[in-house]
Formats: sequence, structure tokens, C-alpha cells
Amino acid sequence: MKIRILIILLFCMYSISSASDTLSPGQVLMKTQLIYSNLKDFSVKAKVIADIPNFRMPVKTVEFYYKNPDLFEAKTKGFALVPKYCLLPFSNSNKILRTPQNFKINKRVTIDKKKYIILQYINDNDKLKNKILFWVDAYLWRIDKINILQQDKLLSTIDFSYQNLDGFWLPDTTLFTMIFPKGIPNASGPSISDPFGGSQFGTLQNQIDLEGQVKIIFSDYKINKGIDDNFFENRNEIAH
Amino acid sequence: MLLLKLIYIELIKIFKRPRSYIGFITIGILIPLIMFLIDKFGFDFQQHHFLPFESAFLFQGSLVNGYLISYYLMTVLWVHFPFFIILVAGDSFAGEAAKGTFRIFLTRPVSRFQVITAKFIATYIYTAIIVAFLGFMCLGAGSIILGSGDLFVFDKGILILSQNEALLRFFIGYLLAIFVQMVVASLALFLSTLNDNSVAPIIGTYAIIIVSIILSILKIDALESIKPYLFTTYFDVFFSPFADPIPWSDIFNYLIALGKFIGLFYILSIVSFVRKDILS
Repeated sequence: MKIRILIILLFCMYSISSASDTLSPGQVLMKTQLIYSNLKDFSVKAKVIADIPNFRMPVKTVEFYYKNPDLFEAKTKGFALVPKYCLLPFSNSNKILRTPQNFKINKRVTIDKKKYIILQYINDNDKLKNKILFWVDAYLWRIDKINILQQDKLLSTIDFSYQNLDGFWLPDTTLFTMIFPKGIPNASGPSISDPFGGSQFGTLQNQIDLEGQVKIIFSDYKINKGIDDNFFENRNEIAH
Repeated sequence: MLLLKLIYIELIKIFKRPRSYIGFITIGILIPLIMFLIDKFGFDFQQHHFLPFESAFLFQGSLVNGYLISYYLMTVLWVHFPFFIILVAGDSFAGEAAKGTFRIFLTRPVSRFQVITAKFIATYIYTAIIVAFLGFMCLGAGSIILGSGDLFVFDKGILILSQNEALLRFFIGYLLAIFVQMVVASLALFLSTLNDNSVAPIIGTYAIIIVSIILSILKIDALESIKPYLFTTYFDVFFSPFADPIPWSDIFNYLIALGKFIGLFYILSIVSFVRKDILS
């Protein structure tokens, strides 16, 4: 009896592990979507910490509001820079991930005993030939990393770490590492000879590419509290 | 005690002259008007300066607020604003000489040194009040009409100061602006001791400021050696608090340099006024 159970268990484990090797891009996306199917809405507070060369901003608190499938709003006191892409890496909220036909499996890798399926987004209309790679955890079915490449040159990487709340894997910390083409000029403030300051902004072409990071730390999630549609009056044009 | 009384009398003289209110009226009308026009027609600022971010970031909220406009309006403190100070300071000695009130005034048991010191201090108080009024109008009207918030400045790239931090920087900035305008007032007072007509010190002071600023701006190697001797070279000290970290040692050095000019003009005024023949 014990041997039978062991055989069945081994068979199940093999089936699970081999299943991820045969899934189509659409099926992989569906699996990442499935775990959020009961996520109707949520609000979350986020600390935005920017570490970008020649750019200093105080740590900002932004409140994000999301309602399934595509309502999104960010609110903050004063000013904040919020990454435009992949802030919420859920299949059913992300415009790109809603088009499984535009994906292909790039490769399957194992890093630190963790299996990943790397999906590649293909956009034939993109003249810049951007390549977007989604690293899907083949066990938990979460998107753990996104790479954006332009002509095989890495432009940005987004690393997600998650927390499990009410059965949903929601972002805990998201780290955006990106290259700023031609950088941000090392402009100085007003002076007698440059009364308004920042005249160096006219010499952008002389700048080099600079790498910067934006870290977003999420806290105080409120899940499925029933946010009204009217709340999202100023819908953000964000490819969340 | 006598000096305090003299200062009080000088302040009354200043605030009894209609010309002392020209600055207040101009600021009182112009600043809210500028804020109102920016509120109505906008200020294309954010899009231009955040070009490197445009592809990757979404701008949440606006940086165009009362603080930003107040920051840019501080540039008027170089050329335009000194006119209001000069108008009052330039008339201080010359005006009295023209009216012939010195002869009666100096028959009283006060020394010329006390008179000149009282006039300098009273003019400095006026300077502080009008600069504070400019700050109050900029930040007050700006916050009411355009709202308050984070402050965008240039410092080794882009620096965004939080609202509270910005208010503190403005406070330090306006204090330094008072010190800068005190140099202008001192020069105007000195030239006023040399003349019996207030037009000459007013035009003279303004001309010196304009010429000094031109010499400070010109990027000619030959002029570099004379720049430390021009007081306008140190005029941008009031923008220093908007850097991070605040360059206290630079500010201190600039204040020392400006203090030397104040001292120089004060001593020259004493020499001029003490030796002056009061003939009318």
C-alpha cells in the first residue's frame, strides 16, 4: 500500500513538473491570471523611493486603487513619479498580458531550484523592436521579473517580490531598474549669469546613458472592499 | 536710547513719504496678477524638464504651484526689486539736504555719527519689511491661487524639495535676500550723502548695479580678476539654500563678502556726511 501511494505521489509530482514544460504561452498566462480571478478590487499605500543619478525626490507616499478588470487610480499629496509600466503585474489588469496571441515561449530556465518560463511579448508594430520578457514562476504562477530590451540592449528590469494576502500574491516590493537614455543633465540652479537655472537642459545630446532605480514598497492592502466605479474619475493612462 | 529714538524718527520719516509705498503697491498688485495669469493660462514647465522620464514614468500631481512661481520670482531681487529700496534709500540724505531740514535737525544734541547710523538702521528695517512683504505675497498669494506643494529646483540635476523643506529654504532664502538688498541700500545711502538731490543717487545706484551685473555675467577671462570686487557677484546667495545639502560654508563666505561691502559703504557714508558742509 505504501509503495502504491509513493508511486502515485511520484507520478503526480512528475506530472506537475512536466506539465509546465508543455504549456502553451496562452496557458501559462491563464495560470498567472487564475490566482487573481477572485480579486475584485484593492487599495494599497506605496512608498516610492527614487535613486536616479542627477534626480533627487523625497520619499513619496502614493495610494493606488485598482478595480477589476482595468480601473486604476493613483493619488498622492503633491508630486510623485510613478513607473508607467507593469506596476501591477496581474494578467487580468495588464493590457499587454491580455493579448496571449502576442506571446511566445522564449525559454525555460531553472535558477536556484526555481523553474521559470520566460514569455516573450511580440509586437510586430513596434518600430523600436522592443523585446519584453516575462519571467513566470512555474510553480506559484507569478510574474517575478520583467526585462525590457531594445535591440538586445537591456533597457530596464522590474523585479517583483510578493506577499500572500487572503490567498492572493500581491506585490510587496517592486524594484524598477532602468537606463535613462542620454541621462539627466547635471543642471545647476539660478545664478546671475543663468537667471532661471537649468540652462544645461539644452545640451542633452552631450549626456551619457545613466542607470537609475525606483523602489516601490507596498503596504496596508485593503482587498475586496467594494470600491465604487465612480471613484475612478481620473483614470490614469497607465499600462498597469 | 537716543539712537533708538532717532531710528524711530527715521522710520516715521520713511513711512510718511509716499514713495516708500510704491514698492508695496507694485508687489501687492503684480504678484497676485502673475499667479492669477499662470493659474488661468498655465505654465509649460513640467513637460520640458521631465523629458528624460517621459517614456518610463507617469507624473502624479503637478509641480506647478505657488512655491515654484515664488522661487522663479526671486530672480527679480537682482535687478528689478532693488529699485524700490534705492527709491527710499537714495532720498534719505539727499532729500533732507534738498529740503534743508538737516540744518535744524543737526542743531539738536545728536552727533552726525548717530544720525547716519539711525538712517542706515531705519533703511535696513524698511528693506527687511519690503523683502518680507515680497516673500509673504509670493508664498501667500501663490499658495492661495496656485496651491502649495513640493518645490522643483535645479541643483546638480533635478532636486524636488518636500513642502516643509521648501518653506524652510524660502525662509533662509528671503533672510539672505534681505542681506543682499542691504548692500543695495548701503550703496544708495552712501551716494545720497554725496548729493543734495535724490535723483542722482537713485540713478547712480541703479547704474552701478546694472554695470556690475553686466560685468558679472560676461564670460570674459580678463574680467574674472575683477569679479570678486563686484558686490553683484555675491547677489545669487539667496538661491543657495535651495541646494541639497545647503552649502553653509559658501553662504557664510558670501555673507562675509557682502558684509564687507555694507561696512565699506557705511564707513564711506560716515566720512562723507561728517565732513559735509550743511549750507542750506
